[in-house]
Amino acid sequence: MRIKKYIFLFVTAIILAAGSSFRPATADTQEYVLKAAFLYRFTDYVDWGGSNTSEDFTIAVLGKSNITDPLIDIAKKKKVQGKRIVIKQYDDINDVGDCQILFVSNYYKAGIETVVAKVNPKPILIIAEQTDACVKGAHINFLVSDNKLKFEINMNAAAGAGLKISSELLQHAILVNTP
Amino acid sequence: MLSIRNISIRNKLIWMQVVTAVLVLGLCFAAFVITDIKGYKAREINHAISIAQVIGVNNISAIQFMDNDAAVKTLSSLQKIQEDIVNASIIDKNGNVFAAYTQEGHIAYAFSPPFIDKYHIDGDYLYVYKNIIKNNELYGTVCMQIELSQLDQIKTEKFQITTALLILGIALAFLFAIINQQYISTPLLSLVNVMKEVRQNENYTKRVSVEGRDEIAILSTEFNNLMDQIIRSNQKKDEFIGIASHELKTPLTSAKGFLELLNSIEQDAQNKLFVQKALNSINKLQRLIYDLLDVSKIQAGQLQLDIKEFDIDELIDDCIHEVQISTATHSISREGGLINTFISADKNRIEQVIINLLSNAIKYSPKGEKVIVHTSRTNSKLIVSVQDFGIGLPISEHKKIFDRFYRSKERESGASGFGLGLYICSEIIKRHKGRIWVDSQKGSGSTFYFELPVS
Repeated sequence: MRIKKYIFLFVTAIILAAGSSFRPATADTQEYVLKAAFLYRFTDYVDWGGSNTSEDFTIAVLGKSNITDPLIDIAKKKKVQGKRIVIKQYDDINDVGDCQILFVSNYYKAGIETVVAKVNPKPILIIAEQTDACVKGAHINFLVSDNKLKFEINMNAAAGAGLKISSELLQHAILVNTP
Repeated sequence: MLSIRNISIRNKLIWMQVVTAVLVLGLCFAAFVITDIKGYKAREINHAISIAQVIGVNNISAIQFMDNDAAVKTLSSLQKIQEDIVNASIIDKNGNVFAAYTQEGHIAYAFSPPFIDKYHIDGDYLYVYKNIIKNNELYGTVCMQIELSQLDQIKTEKFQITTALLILGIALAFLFAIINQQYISTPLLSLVNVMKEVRQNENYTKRVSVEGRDEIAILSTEFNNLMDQIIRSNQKKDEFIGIASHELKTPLTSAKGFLELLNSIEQDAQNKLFVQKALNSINKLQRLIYDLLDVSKIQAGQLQLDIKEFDIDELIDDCIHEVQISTATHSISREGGLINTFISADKNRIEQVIINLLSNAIKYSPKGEKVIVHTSRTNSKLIVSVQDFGIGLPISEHKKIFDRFYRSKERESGASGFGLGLYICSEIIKRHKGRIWVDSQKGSGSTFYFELPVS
C-alpha cells in the first residue's frame, strides 16, 4: 500500500511539473502565431495611401516578442501589396527606422505614449497588446476576451496618421476613441 | 367480354381521337411540367449558389479574424432576404463549423464533408456547398440547406392547369371527333339503309349517292356496280325463264293433246287409268310452265289484260264448282250476299286468281274440311275472301308471301310449286287497280282477300 502511494505521488508530481513548465509556453506560442496571422491579414484592410516607396514592406517589432518567429515564417511565404515582407526587431523606439507596421511588445516597457509621440504623424500602423493601448494612441490593440483573440481599433488615431482602415475590418473590431 | 368489334365505328372513331388526344396532350403536359419543375430547380440552384458566393465573400474577414459572432449575424440576416434557407453554416478550411444558423422552428442540420463546390436535391430540400476562395486561397465553405417551398405549390399549380387543359383538350377532341365521325359513319349508315331497303323491297334500282373519293365512296360505287350486276343477272334469269317456259310449252301442248286423244279412244280400264294419271301430271306441269310464262310476262311488262264486262257472281260460282270437282276432302261454300253486277276486267285472269286462292286453301289445310268464299260489295268496290282452317301463316310472312319465288318455311313441307302463284295473283290484282292481302295466324287458318273497283 505504501509503495503504491509513493508511486502515485511521484507520477502526479511529474505530471504537474511537466504541465507547469510546458503548457503555458505552448499556449503562448499559439497565441503569437495567431497574432502574427492577424497582423498579416490587417494589411489587406489598411491603406497606407502610397506612402511606401521602398521595395519592401517592413514590419518592425519593438521589444522582445514571440511574434517575431511566426512573422518571419509568414514573411518567407507571403507578400504584401506585391512587396517582400521584412521583419525588423528593435529594443529602443529611437532605433526604429522606416516601416509600415510597428508592433509594440508587452516586453517593451517604455509605454505606448512614448511610441505614439515618436512615430506621429508618420503613416505607420501602431499595433499593441496591452490594456488601454488604443486609448493611449495605438491604432490597433490585441486583447484576449472569452478565451478568444480580439482587437480594438482607434480609427481617429489611424486617420490622424494618414491610414485608412476598411469598414470590413472595423466590423470585427472593438472601436475605441482617444479621449 | 366487350369486344372492340362490338363497338360501333362511330364510337371507335370518337374513342380513337379522344385517346390520341389524351396521349399526345398527356405527353406534352408531362414534358411541360417536368421542364417547368426542372427550370424552377435550376433557378433555385443558381440563386442559392449566388447567395452562397455573396455570403462567402462577405465572411472572408470574419474567418480571417475568427469573428464567429459577425459570421452568425450575417447568416441570420439571410432570413430577411431568403426565407427558404433553413440551415446555413460556414465551415472553415479544416472542416470545423465556424458559424451556423438554423431558421426558427427547424431542426439544425449538420453538413457533411467533402466540402467542395456541389449541390444536390434531396426530397424537398436543396443542399448547396460553395467554397470561399480569395486570391486562390481557400478560406472555407458556405453550406446551405434550402427548402424548395414553392415546389409543391408549383406542382399543384401545374397539375391544376394541366388537368384543366387536358379536360378542355379531351372535350374539344370529343367535339371534333363527333363532328368528324359524321363524315364516315353517316355515309356508311346511309349505305346500310339503302342495303336494307334493297333487301326488304328487292328493289335493285336503288342507288347510293357517291360523294368524294374516299374508301366509303369506293364502297358505295362498288355497291352500285353490284346492284347493276344483280339487275343484269336478274334480266338474264328472266329471259331464261321466258325462253325455257316457252320452249317447254310447245312439246308439252303436243304431248297433252295426244294423251287427251288417247284418253278418249282407250277402252281398257287399266290403260285408261294410266293415261289419266299421265294426263294429270301433264296438267300440273302445264300449270307450272304457265306460271313461269306469266312471271316472265309480268317481268317483261308484257302481261296484257283482255278487259271485258262479265258477271262476277257467275265466275265465282264456276270457280268453286271447278275446284270442288277436283277435291273429295274439302267442301267449298259461298257466303255473303251476291255482288249482282258486271265488272270490267280480264275474266281469265280473275278466274286464275280465284282458282289459285281456292287451290292454296285446300293445299294448306290438310286436315280442314271447309273452305269459305265470302263476297261483299260497297258502292265503289267488291271484296272477295277465301277462308281456310289450315296451318295459317305467321304475321312476319304476310307481306313476303306475295313475293316472287317466296315459299313459306312453314308451308314448304309437303307442298310443291315454285312459289309463284300468289305473286302472279297480286300482279293481276294490282293491274286491275285492286288490292290483295292476307289475314292469318299461325295454326288457325288463313283468309286471303282481294278487292276490285266497281265502275
